[in-house]
Amino acid sequence: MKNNDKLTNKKVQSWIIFGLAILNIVAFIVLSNKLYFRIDMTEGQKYSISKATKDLLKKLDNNLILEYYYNDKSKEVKEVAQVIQYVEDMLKEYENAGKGLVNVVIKELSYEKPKDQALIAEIEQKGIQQFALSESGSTESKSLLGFSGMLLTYKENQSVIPAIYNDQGFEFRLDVEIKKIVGGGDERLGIYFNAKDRTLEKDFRYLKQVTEREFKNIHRMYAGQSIPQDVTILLIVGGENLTDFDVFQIDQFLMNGGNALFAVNGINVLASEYGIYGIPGDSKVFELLAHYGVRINRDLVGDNQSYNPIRQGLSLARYPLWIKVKSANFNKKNVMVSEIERINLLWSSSVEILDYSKDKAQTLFSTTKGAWNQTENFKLDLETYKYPIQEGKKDYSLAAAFDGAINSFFKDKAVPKNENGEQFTGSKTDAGTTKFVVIGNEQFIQDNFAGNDEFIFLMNAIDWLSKDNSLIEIRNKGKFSKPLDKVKDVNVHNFLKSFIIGFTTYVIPIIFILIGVILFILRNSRNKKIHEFYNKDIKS
Amino acid sequence: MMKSIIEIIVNSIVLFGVPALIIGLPLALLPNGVRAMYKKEIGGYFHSSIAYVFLALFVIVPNIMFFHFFGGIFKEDLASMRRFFSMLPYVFIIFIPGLTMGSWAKEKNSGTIELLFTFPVSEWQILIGKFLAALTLVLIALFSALFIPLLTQIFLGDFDWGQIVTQYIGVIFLSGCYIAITFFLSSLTMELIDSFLLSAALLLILTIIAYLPSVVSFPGWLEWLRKVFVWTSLSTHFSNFSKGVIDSRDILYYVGVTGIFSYLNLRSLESRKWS
Amino acid sequence: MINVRNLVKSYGNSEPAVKGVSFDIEKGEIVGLLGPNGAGKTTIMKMLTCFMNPSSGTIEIDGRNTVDDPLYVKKLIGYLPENSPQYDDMTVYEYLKFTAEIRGIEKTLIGDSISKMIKLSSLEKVVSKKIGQLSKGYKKRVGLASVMIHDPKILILDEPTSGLDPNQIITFRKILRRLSEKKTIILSTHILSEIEAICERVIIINNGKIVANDAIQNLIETYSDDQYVDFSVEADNLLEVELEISKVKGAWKIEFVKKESKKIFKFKALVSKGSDFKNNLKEFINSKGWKLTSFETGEANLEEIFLKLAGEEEDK
Repeated sequence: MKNNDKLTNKKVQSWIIFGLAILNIVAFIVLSNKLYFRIDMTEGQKYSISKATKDLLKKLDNNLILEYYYNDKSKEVKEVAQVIQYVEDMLKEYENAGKGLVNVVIKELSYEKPKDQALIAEIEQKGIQQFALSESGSTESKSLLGFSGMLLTYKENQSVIPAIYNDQGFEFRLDVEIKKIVGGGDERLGIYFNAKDRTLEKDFRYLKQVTEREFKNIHRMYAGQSIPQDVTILLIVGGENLTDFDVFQIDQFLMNGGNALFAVNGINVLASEYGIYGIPGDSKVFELLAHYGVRINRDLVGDNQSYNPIRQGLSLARYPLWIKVKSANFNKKNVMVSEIERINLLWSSSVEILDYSKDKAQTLFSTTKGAWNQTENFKLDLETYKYPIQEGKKDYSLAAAFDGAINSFFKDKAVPKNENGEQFTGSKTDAGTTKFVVIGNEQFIQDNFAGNDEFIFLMNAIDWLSKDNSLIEIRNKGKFSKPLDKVKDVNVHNFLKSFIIGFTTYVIPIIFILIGVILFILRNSRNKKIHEFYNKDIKS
Repeated sequence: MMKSIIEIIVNSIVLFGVPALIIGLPLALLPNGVRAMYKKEIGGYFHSSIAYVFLALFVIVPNIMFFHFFGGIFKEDLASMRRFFSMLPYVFIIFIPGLTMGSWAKEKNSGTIELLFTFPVSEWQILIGKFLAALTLVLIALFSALFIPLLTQIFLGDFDWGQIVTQYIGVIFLSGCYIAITFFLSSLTMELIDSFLLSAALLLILTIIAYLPSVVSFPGWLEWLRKVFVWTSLSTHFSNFSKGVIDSRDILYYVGVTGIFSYLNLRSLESRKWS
Repeated sequence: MINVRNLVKSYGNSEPAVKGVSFDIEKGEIVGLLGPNGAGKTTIMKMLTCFMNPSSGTIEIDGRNTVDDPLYVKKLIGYLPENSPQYDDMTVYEYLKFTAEIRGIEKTLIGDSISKMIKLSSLEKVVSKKIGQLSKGYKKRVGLASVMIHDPKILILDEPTSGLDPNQIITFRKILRRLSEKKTIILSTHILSEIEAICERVIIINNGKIVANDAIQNLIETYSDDQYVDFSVEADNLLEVELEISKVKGAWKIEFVKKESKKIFKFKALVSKGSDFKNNLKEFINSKGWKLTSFETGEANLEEIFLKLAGEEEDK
């Protein structure tokens, strides 16, 4: 029958259309997964991974496995729970940005569950650390064991982030670890110590901790030792005992593309039984730096407007030589310091950029306009300190960064012999391009004086010096939780909470129902009017 | 203080303006069939007690869950509505089918479907009118929850409003998607209870399917299946919105699912012509 | 106005509900579709109103095909489905307003057209009552008002009087008559008097096919020659008589009525006037050796004729 043909035709047609539609949908899904955009609407782009991270993930040519483990107890502590949530969210962003090469595994484990025991033992052996949780509830506070850490695997390389209990800087930490195992970071750090009795383990434990996070191997050197071939960044802490040969080595290191950070005191402060006094520094490094165009002055800078007060008995004493650099006085144009809020410098010397290198060097941070410098009579006892005559108050530069071409200090000069009296045999380079940072203070990274901000500056500086400084901006990213803290009074706080719960949960439904009643009444009266209207009509 | 008040006002305008646009624009631009249908459906909701019961429950139940059980803002003392929104895909499993179960099933049952489809308007106009009406009701309930951040912001602490705007944008897509799915299932059934159970079951599956891989471990060669499950789930695509990130893929997913089910709905309505 | 050609509708694989129906309806005609339940009347109407598409065959309304151009066709038609389904939660006024809006009547004219419909269907007393609370009669009138609110050229009414009591039927007919001057009306019914009272033409449908399609007057003339004959036969075996007696020439139909006694069986036959049925019967009975015990003729009732034509009795 003709009609039947038509019907089967129609069926065939609709099947073809159906098939095409399915194909279209699949194509659409594939395409939309390739071409997509993400907009992070949160304040501070909390969930956006930075360009540095994306570039890092682009370098992957193999599967990167990120395993994140935490235990159930950690999730019960609200501060840590926030961090866990944030880490999970960020890992998803990594997975997203990884274009299929980043595999994220997230596991919640429990000490109480027997089947988790083996895995917990395994990951703890791999380096994930326990930490003590303390939850201060309203009535009691309990102490628990928690862990929240990551294992990273790339090819045969493994790395671990032992404990994550802070969302601040998480992305940075993870990136650094990824960089380590992916093998992008081939930077080696060398640290030159001023005195033989100084060690990383004893005097610079924080420095050790912080630098070891980013560098696999750290070479320690003392005056007279040669700089190993693979070092790319040099940290010079104090210059007092450096020999001519050392200075020559440093000069050549810079000429050949190495980068360095000089933390050298203009005035060395000594504490003895007779009190605290300062001795002007006498180092070959001063000459070297001055030759390059940055001078560390043999002075101490005091700042009347911004310093760390010293507690003396009940009162606070004025001691302007302990400078606190204010956030407004950091060079906002330089990534190293643009995000830093404060740095404490104890007995710091001023750093001066000489005229002939003005276009290559810039000040990183300085004092306020109410600062002065002291060049003699260094009796520095905290209690009895006497202000020097303060002439020409101005802002003193405290640190500088240099980036550009330099000539060798030893050009047209004789090459010094080393400790054993041997002549340097290699070829000498007379000119080169380099980056270095100068700060007239070596205390700021010592365990007794250093804090978080000082190390952020130090590590930012090291990043800036290393070839890849993309990570600087994300080092300090984080701290996003917004506490409810407008009201300090607990009773008022609790009352307002109950009010909000009561209003939104119970009053609003009642309002809805009231609106319903009003609408009902309105409808009835309208109906009445309509009724009257038509029935009047019929009577007339 | 002044600044935060201005911020609240601006945000409220944005937050209430978006749904007003989403519902108002089609109503204004599309033919009068859509408008008449929308008015009729809204009238149907609000003239019977359905709307009020729905609204009251839809406010009370999620709020109680949020404040008392899911560690909501006042337990954590953090200005965040995130837990509220990540709860919604599950709350919707019961509430949306409850609202839309009658959309077609009731018309079929009472025979009024014959009236609807002999009016000189096309099926899609009727569908869109009904869709927007249901969406309106859902959004009224959801936007009444906006008082939580508003009051909290005034009294207790500042919110990240970018996140809240995103969460609301997401929830519009999410509810549209759920409504489209339940509409389609309602068009397949004659009885309200069938429609409700069928819809709730399908929504439950589509919502929790993402968690299957974490319960059952998949062997390596079934890795693609795990991905399909995760990708298919209605709830996974909401997680970006609930944390404050708009991803074009999530939008496409929701728009796509809404579109596919609306298309199937039209086809199932048209099938009466051929059966 | 309406041209239907070879219309077939089958549901799934079962026997078609409509098997090749063709008819034409001119502008301004009032046509009744008459037939027993399940004859296919409602199916035809659903196809006319674009609620369903034909499995084959075409329907053209005002020159447009219902499958290709449903929106145009739907605008021309006011369709009142069987049982007149409505939204019970709405008041009469709200419902009329809704239908006016969805049919695209201009905003400024909506009020007027509602008032007109309320007057026409005499709905003043119930205008603000919920439809769910109305009696069946009122419901039908609301239905009628709602399908005429846009002043359609064609009205299609499926069983408009079913379920109404006699008074309501009379009111309803009055309304229909008032309308009949300007509109093409198709109504389906299984009650003949309905057709006699309103329609000019009747299409009789049985089992998905048209049995008769003619003006009522013509049908009456055609069948007015007919009469009923009651006769009794005396014989031994009822079964044999029943089988054989249908062979007698001159009757449309012969039916067994009842046993008058053990050997006397009463029959009823529909015969045309002037046929030689009586003689044929006598001869046949004699040839079989039976006995004709009584023979009476009576005028045929029109309703009975139509129902016989339709082949089945309504209350079966």
